[in-house]
Amino acid sequence: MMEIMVGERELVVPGTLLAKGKYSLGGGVTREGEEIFSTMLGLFYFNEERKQVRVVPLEGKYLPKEGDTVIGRIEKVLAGKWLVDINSAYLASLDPKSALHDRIEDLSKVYDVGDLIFAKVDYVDEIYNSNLFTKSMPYGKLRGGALVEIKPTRVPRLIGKKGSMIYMIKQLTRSKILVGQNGLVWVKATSGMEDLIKRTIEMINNQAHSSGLTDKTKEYLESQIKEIEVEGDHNDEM
Amino acid sequence: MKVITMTRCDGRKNDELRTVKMEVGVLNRADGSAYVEWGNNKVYAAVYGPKEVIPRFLARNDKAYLRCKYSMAPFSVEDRKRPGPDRRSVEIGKVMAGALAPAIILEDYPNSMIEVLVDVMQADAGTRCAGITAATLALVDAGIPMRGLVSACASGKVDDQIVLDLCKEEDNSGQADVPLAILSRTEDITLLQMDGIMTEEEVDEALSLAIKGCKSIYQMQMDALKSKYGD
Repeated sequence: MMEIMVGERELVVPGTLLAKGKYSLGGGVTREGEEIFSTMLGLFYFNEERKQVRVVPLEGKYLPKEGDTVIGRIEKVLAGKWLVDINSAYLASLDPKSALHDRIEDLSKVYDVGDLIFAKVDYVDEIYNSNLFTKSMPYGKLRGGALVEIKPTRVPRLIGKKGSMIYMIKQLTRSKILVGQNGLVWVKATSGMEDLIKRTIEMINNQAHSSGLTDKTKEYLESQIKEIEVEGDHNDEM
Repeated sequence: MKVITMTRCDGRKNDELRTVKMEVGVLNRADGSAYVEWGNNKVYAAVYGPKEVIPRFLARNDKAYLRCKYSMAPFSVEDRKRPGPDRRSVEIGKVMAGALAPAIILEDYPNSMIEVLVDVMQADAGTRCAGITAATLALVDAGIPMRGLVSACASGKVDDQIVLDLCKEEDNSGQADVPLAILSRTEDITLLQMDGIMTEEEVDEALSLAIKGCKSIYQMQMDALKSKYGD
C-alpha cells in the first residue's frame, strides 16, 4: 500500500505523517516501519518520477556539502593550515596545498585572521570535517564590500531558478554580488546601492516562502533605483 | 436543599487548562526561540546551535551534546529569587534535557552542541511544563531535526479531586502534583515526576488527564508553528 498524506508544498511540522509505503526518502524525513514522518518545519515535496518524498526546511544551520561555494572568515592561522568559520556548526580547514601554488613560510601573509574568503568545499567526511579550495578563479580573498547574512535555507530563493533572481539584482544595480551556500552574501557597489541591495536581500530572506517573489523584487528595486537617481540629480544641481 | 458547587480557585473545571498563548521566533539573536504564556507563567526559550562544544571534552563523535539550562528571573516569584543556579534549577535543567533528548535526532550533528536556555519571567506553578513546551517550539524554530513535538502538562490532586494544570494556590495547598511530558505522536512518556501522595488508581487517573492536557497543548504548538508562516 502506498499513500501520500499531505499536499504538495504544504507546510509541515516535525512528526507530521507524510506518507505510507515504500517511497524513497529525501531530506528532512525519517522512516518508522511503513510510515514516513517529517523531521523539520518546512514545505513538503513529492517527486513523481523517483517516488521520493522530502521536506525542504525553512530554518536551520548550514551543513557543508561537497561542491558548494561558500563565504568564510579566517578564524585561526595554524602552522600548517587555516581554520575557517563557514557559518556552520563546524569549522572548515583550508590547506596551503589547495590555496597556493608556491610554498610559503608565514601563512598569515596570505590570509590573516578576520579575512573574508570565497571558497569551494572540496571534501566533507562523515562527521563534517571539511576542506576548502581557493586555488583558482573566482575563489580567493574578498577585499572591501559588505557582508549580508541570510538564512542558509533561503539561499536557493535568493539565487532563483537558474540564477534569475540574483542576475536580475546584479543587472539593475550594476554591482558585484557573491552568494555563499552557507547564507553569507558579499556585496560590492556604490554606497547608496549597497544599502538598497542589503534591504532587498533582507526582504527576500523574510518573504522566501511566498510566491511571485522575483517580480515583486524587480518592482521594488526599480522604484527604489529611480528614487536614488532622482536624489543624485538633485544633489548635482546644488 | 444544599447545592454543592465544585469550582477551583480560579473557576476552572477539573479538566480545564489555563489560557495558553504561544509565539515562535521572538528573539532575533538566537537561532530559534519561543515565548509561552501559560496562565500567569511567562517563559522564554532560546536555542543556540548546533555549534562548537565547550568544554571540548563533552564532545561525542557519534551525536550532538544537548545542554539545557533553566533559570528564573529574580522578579519571577513573590519573594525575590537569588539569581544564579541553585539546586532546583539544576534539577529542572536536567529533567528538561531528558524530556527533550528522545525527540531530537542528535545523530545528525556529531561533534557539536545544542544549547537550550529557558528563562522564567513570571512563575505560577507548572513552569517546567511551560519551559518544555517553549523549548520544543524553539528547537523546531532553530531547524533542528526532530522525531516529533514534545508537549508537557501537569495534573494533580487538590481537595481529594484529580485536577488538570494546577495553579499556584492549588500547588501550595494541594496533595500531589504530577508534571508529565510526552512525545505527542507516539504518546511515549519522556518526563514523569510526582510530588505528594496518591493511590495507584489516582495516579492512573492523573496520568490520563495529563495526557489529555498534553494533546491540547500539542494542537496549540502546531498552530503556533504554522502561524509564523502565515498559515
